[in-house]
Amino acid sequence: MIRYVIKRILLMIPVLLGVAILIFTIMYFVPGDPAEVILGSMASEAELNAMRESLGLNDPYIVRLGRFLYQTFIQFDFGTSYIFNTSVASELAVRFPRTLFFAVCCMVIRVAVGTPLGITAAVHHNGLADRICMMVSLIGISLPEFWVALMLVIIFALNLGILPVYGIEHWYGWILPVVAGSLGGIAGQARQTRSQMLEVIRADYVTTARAKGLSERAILYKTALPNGVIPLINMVGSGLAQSLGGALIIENVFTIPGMGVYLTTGVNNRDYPVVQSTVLFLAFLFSIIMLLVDLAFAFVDPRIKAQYERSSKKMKKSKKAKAGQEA
Amino acid sequence: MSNEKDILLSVKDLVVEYTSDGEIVHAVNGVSFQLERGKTLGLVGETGAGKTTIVKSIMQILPDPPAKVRNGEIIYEGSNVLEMSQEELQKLRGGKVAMVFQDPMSALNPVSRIGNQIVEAILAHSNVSKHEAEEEAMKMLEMVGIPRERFREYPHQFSGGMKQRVVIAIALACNPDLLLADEPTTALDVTIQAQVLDLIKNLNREKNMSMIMVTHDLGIVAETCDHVAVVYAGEIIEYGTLEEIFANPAHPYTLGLFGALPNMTGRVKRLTPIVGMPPDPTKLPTGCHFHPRCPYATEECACGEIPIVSLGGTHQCKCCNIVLDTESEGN
Repeated sequence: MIRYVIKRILLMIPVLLGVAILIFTIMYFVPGDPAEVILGSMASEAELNAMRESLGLNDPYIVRLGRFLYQTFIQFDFGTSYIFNTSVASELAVRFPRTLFFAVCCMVIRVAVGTPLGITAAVHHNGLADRICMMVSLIGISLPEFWVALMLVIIFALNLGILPVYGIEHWYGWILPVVAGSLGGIAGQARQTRSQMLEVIRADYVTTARAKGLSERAILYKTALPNGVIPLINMVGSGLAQSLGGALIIENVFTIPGMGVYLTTGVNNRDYPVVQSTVLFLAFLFSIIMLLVDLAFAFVDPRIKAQYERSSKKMKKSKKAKAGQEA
Repeated sequence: MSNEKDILLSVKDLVVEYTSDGEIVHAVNGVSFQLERGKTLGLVGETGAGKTTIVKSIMQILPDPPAKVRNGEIIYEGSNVLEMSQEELQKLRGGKVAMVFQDPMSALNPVSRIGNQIVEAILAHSNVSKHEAEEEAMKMLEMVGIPRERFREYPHQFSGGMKQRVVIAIALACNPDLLLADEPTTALDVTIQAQVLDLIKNLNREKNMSMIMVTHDLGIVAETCDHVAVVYAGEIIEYGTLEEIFANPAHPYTLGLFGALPNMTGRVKRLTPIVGMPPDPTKLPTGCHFHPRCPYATEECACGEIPIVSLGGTHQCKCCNIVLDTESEGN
């Protein structure tokens, strides 16, 4: 098991390298000049050139890429923002907790609301409750997040005046962003849960449980549910990743000073260090989340755990065999 | 039918239908039989004949929808299973009537320890502490030939035959009076089949259980059953004791089944199969459902109710053309 975790963590290195090269290359080809953004449109050509030289923008692609990779992966230096002139790492350290808080809130709500909805729908398959749940979740999936966010602002902030339009000075400032960010997720979670549960409810071992004389409640919660939720762990992980991505839009609508706003202003200003480091950091987060998801699978499903253990045993055996041959 | 007390289970005119895509599948069409305490009845027939549906309806574990019991009575120890409340059914299932399923690979909960799956059954029916239930479950495991150390293992750590032993242990955990064995050996390979069959037979004898053995294997019937009911297209077409059916098969379908068996004494190059396919249960033939495949069919077979003819003893046959009675065995 520990072997497996180490293997996965080592595998993250090439993934992050790939992401770094990709994002650097994309930003390289995006038109626009940071020097112009920093100095404004009134700057002379000589001033601009001097600024480009000092930022190292006049160097060829391969030199700049090499410098970026060297700084990031060897020196762990994430650079300094061109515009704000602050260290990207310290900025991320302040902003990331806000975005993470937002994403975790969204994930908790989508799981806490979506899963029971899906179970209810599956238990009353083709009944009224099922139809209502599925109708509501279809609407939830179809509405774009930014539109929901704007509608919520119009209703609750502008018309009713009970919640702030933007900002997170107070805890209730989080309510609208989190609601807007989790509606679509709730719907997706409900639909996935429903189809999972429907599959499990028809399984032979559920008939076995019924034939044992268990009550319908016990059959649902002790036999069907543990089997039904295993695939949903994946949904939880990808949901967290999705919410992190969704934060880009929601943070901008509600002006939350998180990573999303940082990244979008970085892109607009051609602030290369900000964009590259933020994207790389997000990629790192996603890899960690996916690793945790896979470990959670092994934790709840004995079959998968056995697989991991078997594969590491096999490796040990083949190594022993090799060592024996060499001797 | 000598003594009322001897009858443990009596099924009368059972009709079960499935609805799929607006079509009605006639799975069981008026099945009646009785089972005496301590005896074993074999339900024999091809795949799709309705055998499994019959035994599942005794426990009321048919998926509803799509399955629906349209008519009939299932009297277990004097009370009608079809009219029982949920609580009464829960007491019956696993407690008095237990079932061994066809496919051990999918019959066990993959994420629950096997010991726990037996304990669940015990706790559902008797007022014992968790610890006592675990002790009892370990005894059950040993009884079916699994060491008690494997109590905390998961189903994927067991082979198919071992899994079927676990399924049997679950079924027998509460000492049922009636065991429904739904093709318990079909999914297993031949050597394991014999082991599992011996296990069921011995436990059956030890505990004096009644049993309904569903199978399409006449060899298993010969080994385990006291009475035999041959099922075709949701009807019992021939019924009798083991000797009556095996020595004196009367229905052309039963004859066909025996004709399709390899014979140890008279070596033949080819086995004779029954021509044709089982009928589509959404559009059953009129009259005798077997007549399109029957070599002895006459015009009479295609129309009207087919009478049930008594052939002496308990031997009954649903056919209008039983002519070759005793001579047929000579063929």
